[in-house]
Amino acid sequence: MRPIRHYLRLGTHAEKDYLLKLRDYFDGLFLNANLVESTSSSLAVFATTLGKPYVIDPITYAFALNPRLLMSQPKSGAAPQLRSTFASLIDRYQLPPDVIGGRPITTTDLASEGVWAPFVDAVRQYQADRLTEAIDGDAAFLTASSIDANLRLAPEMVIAAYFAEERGSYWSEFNRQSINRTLERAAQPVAAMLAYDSSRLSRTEVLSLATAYSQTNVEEIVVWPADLDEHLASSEELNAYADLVAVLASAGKRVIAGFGGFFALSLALRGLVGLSHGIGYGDKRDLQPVLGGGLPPARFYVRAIRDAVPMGDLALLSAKLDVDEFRRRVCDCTICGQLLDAGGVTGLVEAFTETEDRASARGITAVPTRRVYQMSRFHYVLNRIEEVSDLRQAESFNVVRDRLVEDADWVRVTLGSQPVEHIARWVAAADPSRAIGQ
Amino acid sequence: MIMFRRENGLQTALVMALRASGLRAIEEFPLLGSVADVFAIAPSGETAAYECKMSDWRRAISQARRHLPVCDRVYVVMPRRPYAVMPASSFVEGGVGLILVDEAGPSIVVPANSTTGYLIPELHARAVKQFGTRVATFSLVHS
Ligand SMILES: [Zn+2]
Repeated sequence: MRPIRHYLRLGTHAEKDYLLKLRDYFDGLFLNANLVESTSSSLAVFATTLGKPYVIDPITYAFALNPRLLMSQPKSGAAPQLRSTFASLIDRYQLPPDVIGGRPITTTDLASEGVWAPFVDAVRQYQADRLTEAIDGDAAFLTASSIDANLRLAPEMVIAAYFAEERGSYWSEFNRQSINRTLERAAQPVAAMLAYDSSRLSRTEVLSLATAYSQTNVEEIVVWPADLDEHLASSEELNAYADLVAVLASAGKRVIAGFGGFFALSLALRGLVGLSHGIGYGDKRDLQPVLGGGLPPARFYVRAIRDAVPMGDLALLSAKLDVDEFRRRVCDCTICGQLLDAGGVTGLVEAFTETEDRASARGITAVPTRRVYQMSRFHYVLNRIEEVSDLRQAESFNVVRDRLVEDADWVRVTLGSQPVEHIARWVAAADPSRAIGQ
Repeated sequence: MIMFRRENGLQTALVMALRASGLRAIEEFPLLGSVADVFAIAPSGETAAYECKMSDWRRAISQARRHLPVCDRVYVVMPRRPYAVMPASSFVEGGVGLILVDEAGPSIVVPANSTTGYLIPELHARAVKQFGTRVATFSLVHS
């Protein structure tokens, strides 16, 4: 069996229920430091209840972004303010407070060892202690069981303070020093986060990063090709990502995809050993957060193309299927299974396309019901759990490839070529027989 | 000479023409978790959904096809432009029709076949029922 660790990311507190219900089917929890900082007590209780190993992403890269992205926009027209969560992280990370808020942090700000070393130590310490500390500070939780809980609340590994790698190796020296110092001082296993802007770095530049990180002493590397959308990415980007994973793995590193969908998962055949993703729409994360925009439309994850499609496409795909064919071709997860049992294929499509009227500035609009969002998210995660299980057991890349191609051919007949175009790029990039750099 | 700069201009022109022909038609009708730009019911009871797009006919076809399970006919609606190449066969293969709109109004360029192959009768019935409710609500709000 191929070892693949499956981590789920908790994006908001509303997602806790999914993780609790699915707790037997995944291996660990990823948390972002901003969520930890804003609701540490509640997350500490949750992490204890869940009883899974967890990792905190310190999101230090955020302080090198335009500070406007870290600010809240008051509706009153008042000047934007640094969000209290980020202000609090700046304090806890011992970052120079005068810099942050006015401009992005630079390598010059962190040039002196008297500045960067305390920052790197504080980021490590934060991950090691923050949840335990939150429990200690929460008198209501100080019961006999919480003593055991405290013991279990240490993170599975700590991620060294990091910034996204850019053209010209702007942050490379800082990242290297941060990894080394964290390795020297951490009580837990250490991971490096290799974040890079996928659309801006050439394949050669990504390969240089792979070589550079191969030469560090860290064993665990979380890779985050920011801005890479697996379904839309060019062959060049996908090949670079696959090569990065292969080079790191061949250097003995344990590589985990920080955000990824099925393409990242298929890199298990090139040495990837872990995958982390969110509950809904969580296969990617951009460096710069997408602000506002409201709830995305509900979509249905179609495993045959390893992508989520509009509900109308689900109806189209299902229109000519009976229950058995639906189970075989589309989905047989617990959610779909129950809907099929209750109302057949039609009942399932009806349930996933249910809407309710809401008043909006444009008049009355129909939006998917809460139940639709819940069902489609459970269905998505259940499918991903199955996919991880399949990849763990897959005999060879050829088996994975043949299934992908056959599934895509089936979908193409009904939905046309556009929704399946990524499959050819994926199989070419993930193929272990493709030489690095080819 | 293009008189339509935005999709809602197309929608309005289409709705006016459909109503003038005796169909009941409304804009922005929720169908299968998304929205049909225009949805109409003929006196015969036959239903049709219309996907209005200013450009990108390929995308228009795939979006329009999502309505196939819930209505009898589906059309892509686009402004008539000189030199625009949109092969009729692509619309026929997609199971949708094409309507082009110019100063003289909308005209059917590629007739839509019946969607029988993809129609899910229960969902069709649900759409018709929702249409009735929408029309009633709309007239209540605007009376
Ligand atoms: Zn399912």
